[in-house]
Amino acid sequence: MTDLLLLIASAALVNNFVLVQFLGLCPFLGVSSRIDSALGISFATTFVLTLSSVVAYLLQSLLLVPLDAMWLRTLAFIVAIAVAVQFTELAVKKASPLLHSVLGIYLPLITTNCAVLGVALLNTNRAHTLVESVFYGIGAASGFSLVLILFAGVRERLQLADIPEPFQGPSIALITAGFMALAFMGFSGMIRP
Amino acid sequence: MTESIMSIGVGVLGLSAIGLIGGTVLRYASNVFRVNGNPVVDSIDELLPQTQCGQCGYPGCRPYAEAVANGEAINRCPPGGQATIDRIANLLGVDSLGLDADENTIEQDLVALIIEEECIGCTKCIQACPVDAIVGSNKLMHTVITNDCTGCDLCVEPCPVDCIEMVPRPKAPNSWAPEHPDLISSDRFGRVELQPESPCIRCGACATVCPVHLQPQLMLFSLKGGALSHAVHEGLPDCVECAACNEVCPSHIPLAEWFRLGRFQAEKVSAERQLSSEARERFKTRNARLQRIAAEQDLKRSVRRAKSGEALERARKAREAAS
Repeated sequence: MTDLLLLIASAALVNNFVLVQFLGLCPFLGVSSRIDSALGISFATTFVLTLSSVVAYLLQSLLLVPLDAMWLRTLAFIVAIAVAVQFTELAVKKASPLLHSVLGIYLPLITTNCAVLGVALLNTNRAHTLVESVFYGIGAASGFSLVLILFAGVRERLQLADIPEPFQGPSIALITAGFMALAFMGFSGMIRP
Repeated sequence: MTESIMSIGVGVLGLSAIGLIGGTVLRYASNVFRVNGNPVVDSIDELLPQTQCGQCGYPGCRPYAEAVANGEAINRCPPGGQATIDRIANLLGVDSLGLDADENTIEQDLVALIIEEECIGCTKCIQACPVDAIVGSNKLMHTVITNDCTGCDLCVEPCPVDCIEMVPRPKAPNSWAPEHPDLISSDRFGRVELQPESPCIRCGACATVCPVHLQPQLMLFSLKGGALSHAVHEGLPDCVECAACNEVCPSHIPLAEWFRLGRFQAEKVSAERQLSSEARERFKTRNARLQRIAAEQDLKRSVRRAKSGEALERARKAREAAS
């Protein structure tokens, strides 16, 4: 149990996917201008990450290893992730049409969120069991959500602040992201990965 | 050779199998999560002013809301003005646009006024009014219920004697809002001499003295940035306007005056919402009534037609019998 908790903490904080491993930067900068859309994409990505780490584990152990076709791994994972994302998009469209139209292209773009494929590949590289894969996925997703929502909160405040003209817009966003990454460096060495 | 063919076979078959399973799951999911209609329309319709004026080129506010949901430009609503465009842009997460309207469209709150001495009682304006804001009867004087009028000016055109004018909406005494906070500061007791204002230095002194534990600096940034709803979220309605924040502010920012201005604006927005939701209700009621009347008339007409058919038949038979 302690191992699993450590796994989550490691994936969420110490080796945070966005700020330490620099995966999934596209939605991090793209949908972080408002807190409610950041919340929406966080839930969607959490769902996709958890689902796809399970599916990737099953593909790996039931299909790829018996067939001795590890070279097919990336392709097979991408297809599985695409299915999970399409499923999520349908569900979001049903549950919250407004969120669906606000998120727009960023919802299907979860497919190309490198954090999702990254989790699937890291799971197989580190030979995680099914339970470990799920927890690693949840940890990665909660780290992603945490950072995204914090960043969206900061950006909402920044929109109203009197920022000097050359720093307005994306430049202050990138500077903020840099500061957050610096802050997350404080976690490094807390847990051995 | 055989080995590479095997690999290709494994790849093709494996991926096909994954695709097939995934496709089946998605097919099933698309049935389960089927969406009927477009619920975004309701949210857009909420924001429109419900004048039902048709200046956007659509027959009413709801049809325009449907068009916007399907990708029509969001800047076609002159009665709503820039404020409505901004709200729709915020709702849909798109960039705001300037108002797309004729040059002569003035962004001003107008209502219709019937010059009662000249009205001949033709009821044409009553039929034109989309929100039932005109009362009157045949050959009797008509008048406009000013509170219900949305200022769409659809009644001006049909009037045969040109007795309808568009006039500025009469203002209630409590609806006056100053243009700039300094106007209020100059009025405040003991603060007649305005100190020159400097930028906020984030000292937080205002938050420390606030008796209702608000964050005056955050509310100020929201108001200066034009994000009224954000300021309301920060607790603007709870401000008691004690001006304690003014006293401690080392930059001499007239905080309390900004908050008073913000509360004026917030009240105005909610009054507009109220007006438009009432107008929507009346528009719906009117459409239902028109449909009901049309159905009744159809019924009467068909009964009459049947009766006259029978009478003709009887006459024809009588004629045949006579000859």
